[in-house]
Amino acid sequence: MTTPSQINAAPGSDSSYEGPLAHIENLKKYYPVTQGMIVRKNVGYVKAIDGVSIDIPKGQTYSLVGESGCGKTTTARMFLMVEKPTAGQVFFRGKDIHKLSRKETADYRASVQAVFQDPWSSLNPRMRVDSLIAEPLVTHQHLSRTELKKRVHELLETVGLRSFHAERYPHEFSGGQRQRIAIARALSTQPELMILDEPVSALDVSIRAQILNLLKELQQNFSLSYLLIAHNLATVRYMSHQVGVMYLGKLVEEGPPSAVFGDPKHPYTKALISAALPAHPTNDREEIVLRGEVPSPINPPSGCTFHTRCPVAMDICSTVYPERREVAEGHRTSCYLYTETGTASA
Amino acid sequence: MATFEESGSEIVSDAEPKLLSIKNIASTAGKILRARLPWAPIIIMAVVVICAIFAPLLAPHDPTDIDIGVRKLAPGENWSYPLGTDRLGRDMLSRLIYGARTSAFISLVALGAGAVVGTTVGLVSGYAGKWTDTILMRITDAAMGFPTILAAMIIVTILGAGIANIILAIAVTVWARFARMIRGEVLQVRNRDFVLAARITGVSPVMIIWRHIFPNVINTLLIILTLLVGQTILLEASLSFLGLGLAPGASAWGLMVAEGRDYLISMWWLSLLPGLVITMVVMAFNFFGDWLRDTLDPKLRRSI
Amino acid sequence: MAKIDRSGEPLLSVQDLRTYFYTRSGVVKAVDGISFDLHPGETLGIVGESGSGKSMTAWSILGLVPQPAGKIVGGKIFFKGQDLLEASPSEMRQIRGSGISMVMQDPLTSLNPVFTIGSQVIESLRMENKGPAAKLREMAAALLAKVSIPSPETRLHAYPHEMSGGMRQRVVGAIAISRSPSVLIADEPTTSLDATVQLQYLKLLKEIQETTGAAIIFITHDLGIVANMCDRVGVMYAGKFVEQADVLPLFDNPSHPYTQALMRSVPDLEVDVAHLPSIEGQPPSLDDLPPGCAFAPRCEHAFDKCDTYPDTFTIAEGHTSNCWRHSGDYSVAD
Repeated sequence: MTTPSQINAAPGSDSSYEGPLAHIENLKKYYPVTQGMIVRKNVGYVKAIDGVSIDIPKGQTYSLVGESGCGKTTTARMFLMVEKPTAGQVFFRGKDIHKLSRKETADYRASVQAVFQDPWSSLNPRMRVDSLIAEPLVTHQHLSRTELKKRVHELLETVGLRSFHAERYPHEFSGGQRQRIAIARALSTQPELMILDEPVSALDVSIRAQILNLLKELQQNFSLSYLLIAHNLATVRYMSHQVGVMYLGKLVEEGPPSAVFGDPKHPYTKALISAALPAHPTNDREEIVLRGEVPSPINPPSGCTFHTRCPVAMDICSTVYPERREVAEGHRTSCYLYTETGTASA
Repeated sequence: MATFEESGSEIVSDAEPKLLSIKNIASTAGKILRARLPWAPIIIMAVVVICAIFAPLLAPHDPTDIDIGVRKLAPGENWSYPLGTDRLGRDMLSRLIYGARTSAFISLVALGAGAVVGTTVGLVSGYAGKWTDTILMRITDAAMGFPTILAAMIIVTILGAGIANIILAIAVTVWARFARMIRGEVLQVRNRDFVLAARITGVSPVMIIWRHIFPNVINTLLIILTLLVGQTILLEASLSFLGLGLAPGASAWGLMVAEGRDYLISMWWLSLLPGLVITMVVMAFNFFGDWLRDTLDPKLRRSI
Repeated sequence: MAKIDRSGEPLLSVQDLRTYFYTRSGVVKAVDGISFDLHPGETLGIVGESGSGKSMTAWSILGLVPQPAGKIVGGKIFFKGQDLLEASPSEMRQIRGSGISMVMQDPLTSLNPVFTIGSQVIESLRMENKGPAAKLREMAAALLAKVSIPSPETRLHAYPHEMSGGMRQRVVGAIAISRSPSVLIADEPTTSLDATVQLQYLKLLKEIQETTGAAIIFITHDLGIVANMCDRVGVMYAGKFVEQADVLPLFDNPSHPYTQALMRSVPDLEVDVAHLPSIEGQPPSLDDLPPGCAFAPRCEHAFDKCDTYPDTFTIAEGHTSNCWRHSGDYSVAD
């Protein structure tokens, strides 16, 4: 594997900073829901994210899991600066990304890149592979044509493709190869943080491991940080250093994968794990079949938003949202089962 | 965009004239060639184009040549005037051939201008969204609802008659159709992940529109263009028929129909021949446009 | 898992089925010699990647191969003793729905958005049941109750867009079982569902199977679903079954290199693994297959003999694998 030159000379890097590479604090994103054809009336808000805080350390993978509508994708997109949060802040190297200067914003955009689920949609079919991969470079750096060509070839090799692939168009590649091209493109500006939004779920089963291994290898070589969005829990366990479980816009449990998956605390996490089908017919797992489906995020249930489906809900659960508690080192959850008020009333 | 030009990169610059890149043309051309070609419309269209380009070589007579000695000849009466002559003795065939030149010129220039304006508006409107979109689309609606004939009358009244003003009158209303259709396509393309990927990278809106969105709506543009040629020819004919724009005696199909309308019984060929030509040409372009749409983009079938 | 009685006549017997597509770029052998038996109450899983021909196997059984490019060029499909390939179009219409029925992948597109749930369920019921509208309405409500849709009476008046994805998929399931088919084909029925809803739905399918005794063909790419739902499994690669076995022997003793590699490459939720052994290379494209074994270019055990298509080797009773590694020659070559 070739190492792209000067990986650590990422723009905007500040050697004195020692906190997490990126973190968000009490982030909220509400979308107004309007009704009426002529006079638009605001009838409520979709609370896509409702007070989420996470830390992404340098060189590590933080994964968000949860079902559709839980807010994991919206959270990830907050790092991409395509939308503004309703409240709360997104920090990168300790700086609020919405308070950066023009120059700093450009540097930030170069340091944060994304890989999407569907490589058939994420690559412009009318662009050749070389211009696809070079586009972020051309946007952010001034390179001569020979330098640019060299970088493109290096990047192709880094992701396991060959330099002659540069002259082809996306439709000439299979799904796994296209995802490699998307990764090469994301790597081109030597980012520090990559948002991986379901990077393998659109791919054939037999090539998923290839791509996961490539991502792990790149993380080690370039000390990349990943924010991974995935619904497949086993994939998340394989990839992550930290896992956050989301339900209806809130982070209900967080910790290292061995703790979250090995000793889950929150009843929703337990149900989610039980719904992941065991890999062998004789493996038996505690079966928790939840009633109903995820409620609408427009008018979420009061108190703990999970209480309507929770098999162990108590009276207190419908009152106020439970505080976050540390149940073991680095393992936190928001559930009345683990607070004094909750255990007292139970 | 600036960085892109300054870097003068080979990789990017040979991808830039993407619209003309051999691969792209090959893929569109391949689709067209693999389908069964609609020969009749193609032949009619080719005849019109050849007539327009080589009118002076093909026409047996000067279309403006008045010769009282051979006036009012019916088709077939005198073989040096195969399609007959009008009441001033001008050769019908030559006038029709030159008429192709007038029609082709007016339609192409008007459509070209309309396409440039309309596509730009459609791209900007669709990509920018929000109030930009609202304002541009309201203007588009107004332009679409405004009758072309009325626009032509106003323009001719203010600016006087002439080919340029007919072109202006057509362009003023036709751009709106491009704007609407292109905007619709842009709304689809802009939701694809590669547009989001470019935004995340910090590519400027102008570059996103030019490199990511425009190349993906070219097929649509081509289809609208072909479908509108027929309508534009018809529009040009109606305007000439009403006497808006072209000087009497010029060789334009619509004008010829108008000149013959007082002699429908005694000299039927004066109106009938140019009328038939207009019908055939318009149908040829419409059929070809339909076929092109079905071949390149079957999902557009319902929308145009 | 209940033991399946395989002593009797199979309900559905597919023998050497071949469905080819004739395209400009050549012949695409989507299904190339598939054989299996399905007994009453049995669940067969067909696992494969996209383009392996697993869905086309289902369409072939239903007589719905896309025309004119697709054609069943060989084989026999016996359903209750009748050869479906010889059946007339009207006989096939009768069999689809009341004999063999299908649950499709996407509940959004398989329900018509302009009709109520009730009218779509009743439409299906009416083909077999005559009677006053009120009676059919009652039957429809009972069906919705059977697929665990709460307050079925009111739901009859709902339109598809007013229901959640899981509920819609239940309606699709209700329509599929409305005429009590004896074979239910489920083509990736849960890919559009969330994990907790998928689990509910899979449980429901099991319950339906237990009450109606229907046989199910489960088409999926998900080994987890296979492990938890199926009695018997066929692993498909490039239009062919490369391995067939009962579910336990398959997971305990996967024998074909593709099955083995596939199982190794899937991460496990139970344990931490440092490195997943991945399968290198890309899935083959069906219009450009290598001669012999289609998996050979990606196979770590491939040797010269793989240039010809391997025979079917019996690993144990009811467990077969198509790989030359099971022949005597492999150890020599190794």
